[in-house]
Amino acid sequence: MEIFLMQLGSGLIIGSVYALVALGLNIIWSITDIPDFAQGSFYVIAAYAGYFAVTLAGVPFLVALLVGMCVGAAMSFSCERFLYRRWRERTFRGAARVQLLCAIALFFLFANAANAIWTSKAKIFPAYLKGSLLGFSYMRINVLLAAIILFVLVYLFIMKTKMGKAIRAASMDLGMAQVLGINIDTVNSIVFAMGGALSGAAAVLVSPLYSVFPTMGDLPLLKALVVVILGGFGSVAGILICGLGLGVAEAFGATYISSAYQHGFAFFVLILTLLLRPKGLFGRV
Amino acid sequence: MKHFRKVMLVITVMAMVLLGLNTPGFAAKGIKIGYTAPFTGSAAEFGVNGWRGIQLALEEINKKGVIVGGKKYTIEIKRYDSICTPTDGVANVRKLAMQDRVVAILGDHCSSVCVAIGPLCDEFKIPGITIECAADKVTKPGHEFYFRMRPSVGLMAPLITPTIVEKFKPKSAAFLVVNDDYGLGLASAIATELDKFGVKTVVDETFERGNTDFTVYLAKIKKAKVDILFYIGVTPEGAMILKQAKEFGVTERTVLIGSEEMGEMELVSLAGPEAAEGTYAVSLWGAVPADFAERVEDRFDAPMHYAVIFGYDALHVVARAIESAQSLDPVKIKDAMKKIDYEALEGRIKFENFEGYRNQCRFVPSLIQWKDGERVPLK
Repeated sequence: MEIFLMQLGSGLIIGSVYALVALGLNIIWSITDIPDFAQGSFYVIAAYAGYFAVTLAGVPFLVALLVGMCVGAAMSFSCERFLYRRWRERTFRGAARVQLLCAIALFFLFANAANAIWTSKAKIFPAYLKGSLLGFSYMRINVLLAAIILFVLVYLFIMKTKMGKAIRAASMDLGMAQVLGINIDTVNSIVFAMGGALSGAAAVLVSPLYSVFPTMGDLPLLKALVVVILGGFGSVAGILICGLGLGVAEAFGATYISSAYQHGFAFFVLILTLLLRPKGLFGRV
Repeated sequence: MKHFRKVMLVITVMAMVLLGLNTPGFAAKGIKIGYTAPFTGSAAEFGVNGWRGIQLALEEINKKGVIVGGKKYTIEIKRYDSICTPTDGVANVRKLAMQDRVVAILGDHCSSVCVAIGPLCDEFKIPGITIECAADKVTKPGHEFYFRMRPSVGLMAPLITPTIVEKFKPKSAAFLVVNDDYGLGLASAIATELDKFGVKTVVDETFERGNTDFTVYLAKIKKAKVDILFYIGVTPEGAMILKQAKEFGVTERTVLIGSEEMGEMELVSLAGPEAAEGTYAVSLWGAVPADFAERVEDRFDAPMHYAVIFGYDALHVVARAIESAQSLDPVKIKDAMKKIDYEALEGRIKFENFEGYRNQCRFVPSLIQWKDGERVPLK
């Protein structure tokens, strides 16, 4: 029983990391049709930003978290503003494919830049909180708590604010939204900045647990993509549930079936779900 | 016009001289020795420290010079990064052999690379000496042109296991090792020895190099309530294992014993003294002469590491072999290496063939314990 609960907890925590990155990806994807692979590299750079904030500037963890989120947001915003925007669908047919390639290229570019500048040796992020509860350190539990708080904030933003309504409208019907006077440039900027901030938050939250290194974004990105597809581009709540669920499924699979295939479970679950329910679990596709 | 011709003549002569200095025939009296090691990546600590040791030896050797056939030579090291990957290591050795034309090769540090370059030393007929590769395969059955000073995993296990059994009196053991020649080799060697004492291996997990999340493995180990846990990998991995093991309360019930990397200061600098407190590690060195330790501290402002010692010894071994062979022919140097017998920093260097091993020295490893961030050798 003890191991069951321990893995349940572990799964929820790692799942919340996937969910955070997935939320950003989901919103970006539903508005712009771009699966923004580059989020994986913003994740990495934000983690390094948080690391240097703590080790060089000596700021408290919360400030480092904000720094990471700002760095992620700024990078994401810049990539949209100066790169993706050039190839919006209306410029020429097939422009969407250029955007996708661009996203993939940016992912490799920034991750390898991090490797070149800071080497692939892991940087140990100093612990910011001591003590534990039921075998989980407070830092680990914080990941889940922070994810829930961020999800609630994003939910409130999307549902209760005017800009949130604009984003929802754009995700439902882009053309109609523009006709109704919604500024798509603004919507895109906000959505990308939000996505970058969420990826940055996930990265800094997880850094004290697993250290900072250039390839740290690879697996979270892939798992987040799986979560988005599983969730079917649905609601904010749907992404959270799918993200947490995937984390738990992965933890249980690794414990009870095989730890060697730990990272394969996400894709196994994806294939299974798509076979049984192609729309995704909460799909509105 | 006359002036122009003069200038052209001077330039031409200069160019000839420079070109001449570069061709082997006109080479300055330097002996080229190659060094392949991981200077970047997760295993970077090995190459960085190995290079420190080699540099110290280089200074000593070049001060007196190496006398061959009445002529005085200095040694020049050509080093390339292997990033602990066999493909890079092989490429490095090919470059050293065919392009740089070295007379001997130092390296590598990672077992998977050593296993790959051993056959190349035979192919090119250039002697190679590994700095610290541990897998049995490196010298068992081994190669005519490849040498090793430190004990292999197969040799270490029967020497260290009785000490462990006597000290901790375990009934069950667990292994958490990196999935490569070194990790798997050491784990299976120790497990076999433990079995002879009636200690059962209940959990046997492997992880990929570079892994940072050990929660699943540690959960299994905690559930199994084992007495000892062997963890094998590079120090960043070890640091994460220690931190997470402490976090999940594995250390309360289980004694953690790390491979030899986990006995170096690097581990404490990554994991922090609290996470390492009370854990043990296999050690290949107990103490070095105080003046050597001081030199390392003064010159590099860094703590002692076994790779420094081994690198230092490796270069001295090659230099001695060259002088004893009185030849720059790699085959003769290899023959001279086989005859070496002296007391080096790490112990007695004498390459022997025994129990299926070739060109292997014999050392006895020991245990250390981490106390207050300091490594304390155990009797």
